[in-house]
Amino acid sequence: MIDLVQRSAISIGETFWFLILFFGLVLAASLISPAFLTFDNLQNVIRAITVIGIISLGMSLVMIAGEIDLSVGSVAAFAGMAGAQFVDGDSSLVVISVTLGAGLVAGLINGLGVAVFGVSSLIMTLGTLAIARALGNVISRGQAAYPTNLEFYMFLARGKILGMPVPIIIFLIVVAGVWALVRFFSFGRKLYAVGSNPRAAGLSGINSRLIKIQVFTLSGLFAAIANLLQSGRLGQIDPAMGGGYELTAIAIAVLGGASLFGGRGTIEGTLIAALIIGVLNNLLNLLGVSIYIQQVVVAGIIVSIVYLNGLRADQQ
Amino acid sequence: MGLVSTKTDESEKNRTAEGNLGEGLGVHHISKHYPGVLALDEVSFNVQRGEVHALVGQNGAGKSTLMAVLSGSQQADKGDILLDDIPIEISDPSSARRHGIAIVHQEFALCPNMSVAQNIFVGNEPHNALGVVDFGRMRTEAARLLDQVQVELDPGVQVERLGVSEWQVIEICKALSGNPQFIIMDEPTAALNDHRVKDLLDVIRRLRDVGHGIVYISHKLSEVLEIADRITVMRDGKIDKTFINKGVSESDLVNAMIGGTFEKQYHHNEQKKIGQVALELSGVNDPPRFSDINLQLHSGEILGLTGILGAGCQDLVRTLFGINPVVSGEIRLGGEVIQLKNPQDAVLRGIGYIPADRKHEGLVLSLSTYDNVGMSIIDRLSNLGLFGYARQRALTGDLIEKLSIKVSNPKAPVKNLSGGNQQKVSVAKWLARGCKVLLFEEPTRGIDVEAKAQIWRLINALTEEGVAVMVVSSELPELMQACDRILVMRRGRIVDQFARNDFDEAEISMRAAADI
Repeated sequence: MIDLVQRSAISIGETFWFLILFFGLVLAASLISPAFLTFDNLQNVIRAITVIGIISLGMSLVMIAGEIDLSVGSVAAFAGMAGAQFVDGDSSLVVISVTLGAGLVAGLINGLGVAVFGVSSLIMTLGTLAIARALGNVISRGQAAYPTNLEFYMFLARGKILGMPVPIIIFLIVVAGVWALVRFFSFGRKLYAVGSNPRAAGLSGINSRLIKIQVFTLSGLFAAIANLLQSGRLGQIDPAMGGGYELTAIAIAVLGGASLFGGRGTIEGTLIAALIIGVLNNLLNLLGVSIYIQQVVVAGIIVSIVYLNGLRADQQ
Repeated sequence: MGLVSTKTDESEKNRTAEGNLGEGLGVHHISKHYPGVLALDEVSFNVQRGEVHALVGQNGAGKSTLMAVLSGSQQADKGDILLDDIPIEISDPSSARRHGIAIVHQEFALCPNMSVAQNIFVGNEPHNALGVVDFGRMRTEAARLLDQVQVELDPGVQVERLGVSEWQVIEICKALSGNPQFIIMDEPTAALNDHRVKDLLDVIRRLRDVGHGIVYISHKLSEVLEIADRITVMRDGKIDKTFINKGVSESDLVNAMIGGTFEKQYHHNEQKKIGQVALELSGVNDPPRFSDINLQLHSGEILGLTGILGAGCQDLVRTLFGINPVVSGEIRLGGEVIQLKNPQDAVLRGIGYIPADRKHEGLVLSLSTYDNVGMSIIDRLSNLGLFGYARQRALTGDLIEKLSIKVSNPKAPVKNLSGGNQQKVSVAKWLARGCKVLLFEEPTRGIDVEAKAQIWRLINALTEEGVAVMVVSSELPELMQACDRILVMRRGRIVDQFARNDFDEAEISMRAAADI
């Protein structure tokens, strides 16, 4: 256990504090609404955050590396539309592979632009944001596609295994995978070094370009996975999907402890942050609060928590 | 020797003994606790108008805390701050300014793309009744301040076009713009080379002569002896001694700083064996940085490389670590021609580099000692990508012990370590990789005397194990004590070579500076 604690740039104390906050929220929610603490509803909470949660994981990796990825929403849509070109072919695997491949390539291009050509990630991914969205519209002629005949494709978003919704399983697998990657693999050690001080990391023989290419590629791949889950659930692949997702993902990553300056943040923090957002939205839904008011409340709470977190950090 | 006072508990007596000690700016029996540390313990200290009062001591002696209290960025737990014997309240930096106290920090805080004048008045711009900035007045005021320190500098020129010594002058003018009576200077010469130091000391003298009281903090004892009227030595949060600067020697100060007798001996092992050529350069060029470099570095050798700023020493070392490309010429490592396209190439070849800028280039400050020491061997510690934490701790733990790095918690960020210990971590990183060639850049910059000696001892011990060491340093006396050979660079060329028996400080300095 000590092993687990020491290795992250963030101390366990910080995550612990955050966990308490989360359970406090769950407790409050269950007191406010009796419908909250039911098995079905808790599944709803998690299912609702799978899409943005997976995107936030990619965002967290990019932010720990000291960069930012504004293109996630557009890349998700682009990847979906690339896959949608094959939707009439009756092969789920083709559609899924093309979707994932397109996301991966878009992410790789971001990574190469930032790491090899030295374009700032803010500008590079702002460019990709516009280009990917536009390309998605071009290849789909602005029309949504309908994957409802693709059995396996739909299974990923709507199926259940042993009573557990498949998207939740996929989400948990991605979370566990990324968490392990950051915690147990040399990749994680290099990631924090590069994010904290790219210059010193480079002068220690770490290939910081490679790390940056890797995190952007993963971010693109995760955006594509998010598209699969969302398109399957809605039964349509929509070129307008994912607008504004970059801001929610950044908010979740920051809420989870990531810093715009890099070197900070954890995967468990991001997970808890996504769950907090999920619980808040769910509770407001149960209370019948309008979607617009929900946005105001959630955004307000994000800013407050980040502020309080900053205060706490200052005191230490 | 002009010893006037010892120990803080006698300071009452000294105040009367010195007669006018009540005048000026002072602190009286102040204490300051940090968690687990008594940073200031009943400290009394003062500076009068028209005097330079130097404050020396090892890292962690309490100098910075004392200055933080005087300049308002920290508050003392108890004790008084006195201005002309009247207690004053300094609750924040702006109240310090109102009382006429200014501080020039060690780190530069300049906006590179703004002009000299704009930097001097940043946040404090002269404006008219409508709040519109009066650029004309800003310029004339800036010119007046520059004139006051008698430095010729165009107030309209952009700061990024100037060098560090001008930056230092701008920082001083920034402090002067508030019209202070007292100026605290924290290591003002840390970034300057010898010639520029002399100019800066002249500026400080002029400020003193027009009646400013100056607190001068520095690790460079020779400068302190040159500029100070009084010198106070701090140790372990207490005032150890205050000297009147008359007939005081460097060793008096050093002994007071370390609280004992210090042998100024960087322990050069005359018996050690110098082995075969480890690194050989023939006709290496990277104009205009340097050209036609031919040299041999032997295993077990400490080769010093010195020159004034801009002579190309640092550029050469950076090229040897793959940071800058070699334009032409040949680098041989152990007889084999090597290509160094980036630092990774150099690291893979067993070359290590300890940069002068520890905080930004040598270490990742927010990561732990374990992580920093293990940074060059992340892949070696990993198995199929899985990182071996236990191996990391075992291996780095051994090095922490071997180099006697004082670290209470090796899992805590290295930013909390002292400069000397940070430097050792920076070295340990390459020992973890078993590097055979180590390139040091200003290895003792900004660390205290005892730590300096430890670093040199460490370098010496490494050479006894056959490591080839190249050291770039502007600290000629240190190089002369530690090196087997010194090369002098001027304008990008190696102009002279001195064997240990022929070391002559005056001669080497002259060769480095000639025709400039």
